[in-house]
Amino acid sequence: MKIDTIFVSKSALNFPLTKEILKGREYKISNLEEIRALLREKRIKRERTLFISTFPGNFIKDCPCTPGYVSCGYKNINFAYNCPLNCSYCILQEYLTYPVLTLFVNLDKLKDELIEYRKHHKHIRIGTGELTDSLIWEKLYPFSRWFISLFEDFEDIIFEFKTKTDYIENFPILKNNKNILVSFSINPPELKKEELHSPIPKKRMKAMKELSEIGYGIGIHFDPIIHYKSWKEDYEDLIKELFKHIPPKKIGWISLGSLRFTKELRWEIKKNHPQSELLKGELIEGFDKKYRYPYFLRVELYSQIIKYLKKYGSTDLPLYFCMESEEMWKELLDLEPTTHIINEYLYEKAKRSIERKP
Amino acid sequence: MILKELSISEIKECDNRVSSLFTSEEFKESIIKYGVINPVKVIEKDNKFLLFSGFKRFDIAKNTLNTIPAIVYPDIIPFCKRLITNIKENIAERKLTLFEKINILKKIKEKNCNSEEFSFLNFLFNDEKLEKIVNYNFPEIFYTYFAKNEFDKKGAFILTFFNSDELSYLSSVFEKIHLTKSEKYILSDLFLRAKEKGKNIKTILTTSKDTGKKELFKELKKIVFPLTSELNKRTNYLNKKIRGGKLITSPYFEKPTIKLEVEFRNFSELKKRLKNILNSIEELNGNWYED
Repeated sequence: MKIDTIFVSKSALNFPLTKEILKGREYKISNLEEIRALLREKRIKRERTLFISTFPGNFIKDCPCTPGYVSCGYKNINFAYNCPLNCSYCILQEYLTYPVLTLFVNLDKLKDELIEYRKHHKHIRIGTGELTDSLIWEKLYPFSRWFISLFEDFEDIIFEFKTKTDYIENFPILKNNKNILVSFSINPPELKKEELHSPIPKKRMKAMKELSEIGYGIGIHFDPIIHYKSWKEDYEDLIKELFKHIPPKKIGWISLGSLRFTKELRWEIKKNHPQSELLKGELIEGFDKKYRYPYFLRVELYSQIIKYLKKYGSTDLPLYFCMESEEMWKELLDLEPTTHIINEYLYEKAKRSIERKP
Repeated sequence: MILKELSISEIKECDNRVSSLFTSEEFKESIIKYGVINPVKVIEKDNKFLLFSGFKRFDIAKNTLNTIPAIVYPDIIPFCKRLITNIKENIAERKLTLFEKINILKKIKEKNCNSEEFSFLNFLFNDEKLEKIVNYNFPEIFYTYFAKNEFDKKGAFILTFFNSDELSYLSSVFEKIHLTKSEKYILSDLFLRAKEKGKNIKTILTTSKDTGKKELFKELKKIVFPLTSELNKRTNYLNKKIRGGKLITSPYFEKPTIKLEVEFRNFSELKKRLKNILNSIEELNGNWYED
């Protein structure tokens, strides 16, 4: 992550975390309006500008899923916004009101929030990778250590880092926690042009291997699954390679989600990624008004990938869909598509994967 | 400059065309009857004549005449000046269409013309300065200043993704077929998606230029949604074969199940219809796809 300019809001200035991050770095005190104006005038670059601020509301949120499709009951901690990896399909291009890389430093209140949240919820699966990549901040500050240490006090909660990087140098050997899962999003190397700034899948697999050997559970996200000419062969190769690096018993969960995006994102893809081939696919309008592949094509994609997972991994992998219809769950997975059943199932599977020795 | 009678085959088109490819029947008849009275304008370059004004006259003459009167200019007129001449001739004769207006703006922007020289066009944009329109956020201005009466916002925005050449072709289609605002949006979107798939827009228009609205939509859907169109074809086939009921599918087959609709006034009619349905399924003999 290369940062050219750092802005700090007045509210964030006195937090110890702010002071820690700003050590030896130049910064300016500013606010969102001024940053937006500078962006409009092209005086700063979106992916090279950091805004350190405080988050006004609760950090813990339900994962929003999408209307009309089945939710898995996941929760998010949005401690940061945006991502410099700049993948062509990424929703962050149009989703957020914060236009630059943004970090919220009032994380001290998160512990109290978790204590309160735990009183009313069971089988909590929570992570930091919805509105940012969980690990892109590691070169700025070792957030991984910070979160791992926080969740030592919440053994009953499964905490997930979700990433497309291999930035695992700050991860300690896991001794006390039996609740940390590190998940990696992977796609065939042939799709490199859609995720230009992420390390190649093999590097991510190497990171998975190292983490699984020092106590972490591993999550895999095949998301977005992209349909293109040689997809069958490429996904088969990818999955074959994956299980050379990671034993199936260390896998906490595997999500499958085919390419989908909002109408607004289509314009961002055209503008920001003219080399992208995503829009060449047969994309229809789903019930949630998002573009996605037709149902019968998604069935083909998923069933083929599930076949490869069973062939090269195990027949007992904890699979689930992200933003899929009830019909799809019934057609391809042996799991009742009800939010609390899915959530409990994945929770138990993840817990066991972390506890198992590699 | 010299006035000459040039052979049609000697003339090639310059890239400063702003007009659509559509020509009215009256204009066509008049040229067939009287020939081209107002000469077209060309520049002479390497023993070739490049047309820069009079594109519609040339379109008709290409198919009906062997020669055309032309004023020949030496090859010293810059692109932006040729564009001005072309635009002035067009606005003197008729009202410009939406596509022609956007084409002009695109060309001024793409070729870095001095927008002050085009200030005679300010009246086209509610007297807003052309310089401002060209230099500000282009798609937004495009909608705000002149597309909103003819196009809905989404459709107007889509048009900004086509190049000038494609806009000329699209313009022909839109002039020829009467479309509502929402149809204009859907059609522009389908054209853009065909373009995203790497399809040459002009080819689509060539193959469907003589057909109506319905055929054009169908043609585009086949390109944009090949798999879904195939399923639609199958459903239509089945609906023709199944007597007494109708198969209803969800949009784009997003729900995998199919509904069967049967209308009846009483139970004996229902029984008859269900029997017919079962018989026709029997006759299909497991062949759900084709004849």
